[in-house]
Amino acid sequence: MELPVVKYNRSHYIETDTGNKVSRKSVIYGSQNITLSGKTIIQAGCVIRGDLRRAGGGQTLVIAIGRYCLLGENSVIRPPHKTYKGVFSYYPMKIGDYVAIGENSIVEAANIGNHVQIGKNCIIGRFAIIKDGCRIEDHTVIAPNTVIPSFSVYSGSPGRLVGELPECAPEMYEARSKEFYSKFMAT
Amino acid sequence: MTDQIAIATGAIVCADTIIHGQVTIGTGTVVHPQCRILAEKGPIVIGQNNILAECVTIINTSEEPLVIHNYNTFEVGSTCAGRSVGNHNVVEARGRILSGTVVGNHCVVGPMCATAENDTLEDHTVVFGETMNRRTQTSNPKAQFALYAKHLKYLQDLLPRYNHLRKATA
Repeated sequence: MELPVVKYNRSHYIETDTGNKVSRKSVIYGSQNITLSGKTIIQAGCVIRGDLRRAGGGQTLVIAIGRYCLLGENSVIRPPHKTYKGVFSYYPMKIGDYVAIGENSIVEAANIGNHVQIGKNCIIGRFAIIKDGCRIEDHTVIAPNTVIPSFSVYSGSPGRLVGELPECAPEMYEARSKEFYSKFMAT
Repeated sequence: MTDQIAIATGAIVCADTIIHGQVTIGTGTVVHPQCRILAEKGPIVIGQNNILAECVTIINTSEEPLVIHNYNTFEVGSTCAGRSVGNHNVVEARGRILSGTVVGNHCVVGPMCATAENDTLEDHTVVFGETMNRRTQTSNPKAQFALYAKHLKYLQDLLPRYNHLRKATA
């Protein structure tokens, strides 16, 4: 299935040297603690909480996002929190390459692998780990601390395994992410 | 209607929020950016030491006041339009408390779950799952409260460092 060309007004997006396209209507806090590896699209209304950082000094990276990712409209990306050995802290979140997050989804995962598709209106609970090449269908609620194995399809509330993806899925998602990026054009 | 916003000293209310009407926010309460607190007719009273995560909507469309007591957590994207909320409740991500609802103490509204309109949640009720099942909570609330107290303390220290705050008015 071929994706349609999406046109946007050049003044509504900021394009960085590495090809990231960040909507001016997105809300990003603590931007010094966020890294985008390149060619990532952040759409309008997206909220990214880079200010919820780890307790104590030292390493301050909060959110690392890979290449060719898409963060849909009004999605919320915030790092997970817990107490460990009696100390409360937020922990960094890592998102791999070719990850698409649908509209209105809330993500508090610890780790998202490469080639992951997350649908619309999903809630990904705290410290969930999503391995490479998965699909989370629309309106899914993933419980906190869930580990989602590679090539699985999750759906429902709470999210359960409903199917598996073929071996070619990562290539498909990679091609689709690149196609979406190339067809996301300024006017 | 003119805005009458009373923020107690010690409350952390980010500047990036929409607050309308007659709103009182108690000491120790943390309001993350992007929250909306809309008192359209009657007033909204938020007690002490609550946490309102981003994109939370607290709305009062009735004439009567909406009272939220102490130590409640509203997670990302949740909505509260009820009549009153007790102490130590948790509304998970995108949970909804619909208009006229009275929530007791130690209740949990699960992610994407909603109460009915003009409903009453007894103490320790848990609303969960796709069909909004209900059960009574039996776990020890003390452990949860210890985590909550640490979370609140951490946010009270951290948020002012990265966000502009509204000034206390009371």
